[in-house]
Amino acid sequence: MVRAQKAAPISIVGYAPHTAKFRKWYAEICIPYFRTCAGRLARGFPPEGVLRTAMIAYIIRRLLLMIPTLLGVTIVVFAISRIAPGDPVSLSMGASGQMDTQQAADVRVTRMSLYGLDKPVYVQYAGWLGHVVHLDFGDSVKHRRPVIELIKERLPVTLTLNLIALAIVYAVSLPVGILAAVKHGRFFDRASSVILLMLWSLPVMWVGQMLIGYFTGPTFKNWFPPAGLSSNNAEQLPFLPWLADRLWHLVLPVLCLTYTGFAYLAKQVRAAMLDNLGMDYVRTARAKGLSASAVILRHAFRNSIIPLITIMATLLPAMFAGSVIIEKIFSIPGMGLLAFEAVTNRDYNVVMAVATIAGVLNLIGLLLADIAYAIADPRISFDRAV
Amino acid sequence: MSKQSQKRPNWGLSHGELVWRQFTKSWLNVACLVFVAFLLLLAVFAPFLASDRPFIIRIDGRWHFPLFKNLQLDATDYKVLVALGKATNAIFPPVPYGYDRTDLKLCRQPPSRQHWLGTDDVGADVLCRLIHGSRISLSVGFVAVGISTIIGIIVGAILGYFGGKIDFIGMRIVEAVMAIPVFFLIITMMAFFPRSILNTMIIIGVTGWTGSARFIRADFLKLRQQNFVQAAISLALPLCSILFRHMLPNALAPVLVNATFGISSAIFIEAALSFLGFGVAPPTPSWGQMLSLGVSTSGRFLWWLALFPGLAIFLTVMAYNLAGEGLRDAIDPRFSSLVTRAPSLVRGRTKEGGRWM
Amino acid sequence: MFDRWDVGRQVVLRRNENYWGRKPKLKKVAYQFIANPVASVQALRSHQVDIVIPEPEQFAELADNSRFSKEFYCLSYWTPSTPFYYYIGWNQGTPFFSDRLVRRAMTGIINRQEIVAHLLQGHGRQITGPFYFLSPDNDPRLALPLGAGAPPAQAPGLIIAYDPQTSRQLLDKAGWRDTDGDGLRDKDGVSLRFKFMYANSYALFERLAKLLKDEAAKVGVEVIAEPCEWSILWDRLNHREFQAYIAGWAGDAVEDPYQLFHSSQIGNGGFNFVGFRNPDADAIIEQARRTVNDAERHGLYQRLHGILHEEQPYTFLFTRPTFRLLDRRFKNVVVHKLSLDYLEWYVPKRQHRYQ
Repeated sequence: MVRAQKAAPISIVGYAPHTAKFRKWYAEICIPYFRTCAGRLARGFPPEGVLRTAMIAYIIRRLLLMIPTLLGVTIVVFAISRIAPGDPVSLSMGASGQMDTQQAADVRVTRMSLYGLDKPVYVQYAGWLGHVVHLDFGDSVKHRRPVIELIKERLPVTLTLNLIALAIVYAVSLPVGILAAVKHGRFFDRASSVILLMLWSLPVMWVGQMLIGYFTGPTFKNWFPPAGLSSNNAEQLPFLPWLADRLWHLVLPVLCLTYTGFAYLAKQVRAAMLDNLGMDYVRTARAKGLSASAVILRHAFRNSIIPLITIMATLLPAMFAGSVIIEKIFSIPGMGLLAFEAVTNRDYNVVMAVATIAGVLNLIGLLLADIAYAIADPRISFDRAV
Repeated sequence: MSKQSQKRPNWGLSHGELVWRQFTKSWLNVACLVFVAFLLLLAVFAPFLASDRPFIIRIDGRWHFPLFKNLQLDATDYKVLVALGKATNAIFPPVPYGYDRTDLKLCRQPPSRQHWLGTDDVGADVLCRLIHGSRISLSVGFVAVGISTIIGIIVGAILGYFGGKIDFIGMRIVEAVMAIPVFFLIITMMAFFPRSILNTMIIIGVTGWTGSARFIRADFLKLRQQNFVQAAISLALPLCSILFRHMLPNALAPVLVNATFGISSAIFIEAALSFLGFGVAPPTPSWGQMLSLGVSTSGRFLWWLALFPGLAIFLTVMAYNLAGEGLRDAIDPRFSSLVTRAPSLVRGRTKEGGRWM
Repeated sequence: MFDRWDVGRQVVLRRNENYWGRKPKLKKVAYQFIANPVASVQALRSHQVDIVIPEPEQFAELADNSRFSKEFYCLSYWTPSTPFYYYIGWNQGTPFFSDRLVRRAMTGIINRQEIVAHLLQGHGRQITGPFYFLSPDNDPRLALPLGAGAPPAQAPGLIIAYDPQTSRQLLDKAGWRDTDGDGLRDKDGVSLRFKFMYANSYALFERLAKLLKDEAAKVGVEVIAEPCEWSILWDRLNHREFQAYIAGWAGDAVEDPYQLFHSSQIGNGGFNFVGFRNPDADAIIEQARRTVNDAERHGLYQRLHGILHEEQPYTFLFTRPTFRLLDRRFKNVVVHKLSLDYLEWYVPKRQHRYQ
């Protein structure tokens, strides 16, 4: 099976983006594939009526199932946050030391009732749920602004960071994974496997700390800024320098986010390619006389894309978690840092909002992954799937 | 597989022995095992490797063994005694410092002859704290993974064995747990409950069981139809016995692989939590907490506090990851390709009617 | 006058041209919010901002840097308008700290001079009472020498110095001896082991906790460090569910110790968390509240200082100056008694930077 591949090594290097070979591959293989996908979508996929109903029924079933799941998530987070001692009102009053003691007690009672924290727990939850249905997540006690505004400011930052990282991860992992599968069992495969695993094992806070220490300070090289998303006078700059300044600030955080993804994705690509390279149709194609490169890049790769699409939809919510540490280290005002600060400050509204949004993203990501899988792979049916 | 073709009058090699043989074929896997064993020894013998109490000392003509005395607190400064000449014949452990001893005059010193890896912000010896920190990391790793594996096995076994409605409801609950962003949940729980090493273990364990549950459930769904299980049921064996004595050993392989990766992940999570300030209470040493001291607010980079703890975390996590990879490849080189597809659709049927998984 | 507010970024104030009094030379002041202290110093160095309130560690390091001090003023000054101090509070409701001797013993094992010298890098001062150390409320006998060339302390033996030997004796005298041979002192079956609570957001507190644990171990006392969230700490203080804790108090130019040390403030939302109850102190505080004459009031507070020092409800640790880093292009920068007055600064024309 795989032995056939070992006898005919090919070079992916010849397919670098600037060569004619790449253009030929892109024109002959990728474009027709995209066309068929588009065609199927345009015709209203899946073409058969029975399957389309099954698919729609499946999506509706999943969406309905999402609701109790989300309720479960919010109840768990709500319960945890309320069980714990401490509350945002006491915290914000702090050790001012200057308030008359009687006044302090009154102020506290007033503020607790203002935020509804003196009611029993289930009443508070029901109240919160009622507001959420109107997309009103309440106000943040610490920032004194509506939570929606905070999220609107911070979510784009995290998404930008993660999308750039995702793009880089895919750009690097695809060639490495394909090459490793093609040269299965040989030096490149084993060496890349070990190196990628080493990268995966590097603790992200160590890398962040070392990068900050060596590349942002006077110790070694002062190439990058140590924190923040833009420099202080960035608003006064015209657009292009502002963009350049932004990107300059993002280099180190993106670096920290990407390297862990390489190993995971490259392994998936390699595994998927190995699976496909072992199939009968590859043997048939080789026996028919197709060149190794045509077999790999035209046939095997198209089928291996399938798990990668599903991974993309699930990777996004996963990266949300990883960015908590990176945003804390680099002081980037994104969702991760918001969640972290909210937890430390007992800012209940923000904590619940972040948990809800992250839960929704997770579930939608899973649903999109399954749908994308169905679009890409015509063999999958929805009959017994749940 | 060709490996199985050794003909013997007995039953041949067991699955475990086969896996072991395949595992040890690669020198990298063996090296990882050796490193893990070294870390275990380091953790177990930490008080004998790094302590400021000597093994043996002679004070006023009488022999004492301070390191072996079971004292809650030992206030005597043996080094001072030796320096003053009141005690002789003192044999100190290789790293003669205690992990909770402070020395303000020598805080933040780079590596030197007295302190091989430097001192931290209160003057404690970094090498000593690294050695004692391995206890925290390894114990959190093992116990947390133990908890999550046990929960996962029990849940997965019940779901997989019974199938039907129980499986449906159970999988919804599992998906609900999976939908909660794990790291965020861990931070929330760590922030809200008192900080202790036991809480850390429990929280990391309770949030990580879904992976094992899914593997066990998938395997049990398959195994349920096998003949030996049908035979066990018809013999009216108790449920526990069927599940854990007959079916479980067949499904254990992917769970072990998952557990190995789980250990490295638990060690990483513990280090991350300590780095963010949620870990064990000081002065108990933790690698993550030492790492957080590497860059001070003034921007001054204390490289020895960033390099050595980070290196320790990195090597430990890498050893477990490589061991997990080696184990996975030893069990079934093609194993990794099967279980990583889209989870829910995989349970469906292909158009030809064959099972996709 | 208010000019504009960029939410989350800065607030800009403009000079009021129609003001009747003396006109300041500066036309605009912008307050920028920078969350990360490293970033704020970086902004200062790259001349994006002109004045920064640094962290003490940053100040200590930058003040030593000669290149930095050529370009920037490194100001550290004492001002009575915002005094604050750090202290360790001993809960007198516990069997350990209800005894005055034990509290004095615990104060004796904390080497405050070394803490100031090494952990604060010399930018701080040991204190012995709750008042601003230059204020006349302090008992002069309990004042530490102000520095080289200043008159020496009036009664050097009175101030509790770092002396573990004396602490051991005091603990023995209080009845806490190691009767069961485990290295830990105990009395009536209770071991001298307590939990030390602090807010985990301050690295300084963590270092002090480690230091305290080490020093206490040397005299046979076990300290268990208990870091908590600030909100949990505050909660526990209010319910008096603690044994010892470290925190700080920020005060004002005119300080009234009623909230902290009067016995009516124990419970009911008062701030007398340690449970300090002393009739003499109560009487002094009440009388001082009614005394308008400054000299009389200072005398009363000096007596209070003496009582607090004798009873040690708190171990008063140290206080810190106010730090500012300022660009040297501003001239006429004078440190007054109540801090800087930026209304009197000006910048020579050739060094103007903004419109």
